[in-house]
Amino acid sequence: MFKRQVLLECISALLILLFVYASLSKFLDWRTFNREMAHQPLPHTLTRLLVWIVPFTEIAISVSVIFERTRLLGFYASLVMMGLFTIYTAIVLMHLLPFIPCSCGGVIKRLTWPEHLVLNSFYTGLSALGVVLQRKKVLKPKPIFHHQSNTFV
Amino acid sequence: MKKIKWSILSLTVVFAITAAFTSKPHFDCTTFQQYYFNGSSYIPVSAQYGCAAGSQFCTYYTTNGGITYTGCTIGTYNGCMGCAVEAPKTK
Repeated sequence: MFKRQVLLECISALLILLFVYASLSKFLDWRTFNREMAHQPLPHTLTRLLVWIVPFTEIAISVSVIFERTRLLGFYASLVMMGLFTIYTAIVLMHLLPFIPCSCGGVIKRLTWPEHLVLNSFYTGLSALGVVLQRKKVLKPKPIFHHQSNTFV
Repeated sequence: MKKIKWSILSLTVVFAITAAFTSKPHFDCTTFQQYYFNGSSYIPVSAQYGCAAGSQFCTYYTTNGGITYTGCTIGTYNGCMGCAVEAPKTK
């Protein structure tokens, strides 16, 4: 029980570290981020939306994994987001698309595409582990105190 | 447990914010084409220009196609062989 709680806090901390850093780096180098997003092989209207959706979703996930009530939702959102990033990286590595500039912030953009795949896969796994552990914790039936016999049922 | 949790999470947030600010790319004017001012116009220079010690601007750069020039490196331009790479531009 204690071990699981510590593990959940560590997973949350690692997700916060990644998402706060990545979102803030995007805001601090907004012009570059916009330019790189515009070069993605996606419809222009979609990239214009993603420029706002991606960093704000990252902040929302960071906040949601802090609090017990929203943590499961945060882990699910992180799993979906990191899963999509992993699929995207895999598509790039399979040469299914022409060269795509990296749209991540800060030092992460210095990673090569295979390194990106490792990082994204690691965080996808971490989010999945978070979902499993948090679900176990949330869905665990709580003992009910039986007043007549003074015992827990 | 709650104290430990909040300590770890607060430290993580602070660390992430600090890391984002420290890794922020700094603006480097020397990555732009450099020009020196010959008294009446701005002349583009090659990468081998020289600047002697001085308190004024040695070279300038432009981000709007030569409409305005901003000082970049400090010193006194002392020229170099074959620095002019194109016809002088008037301000």
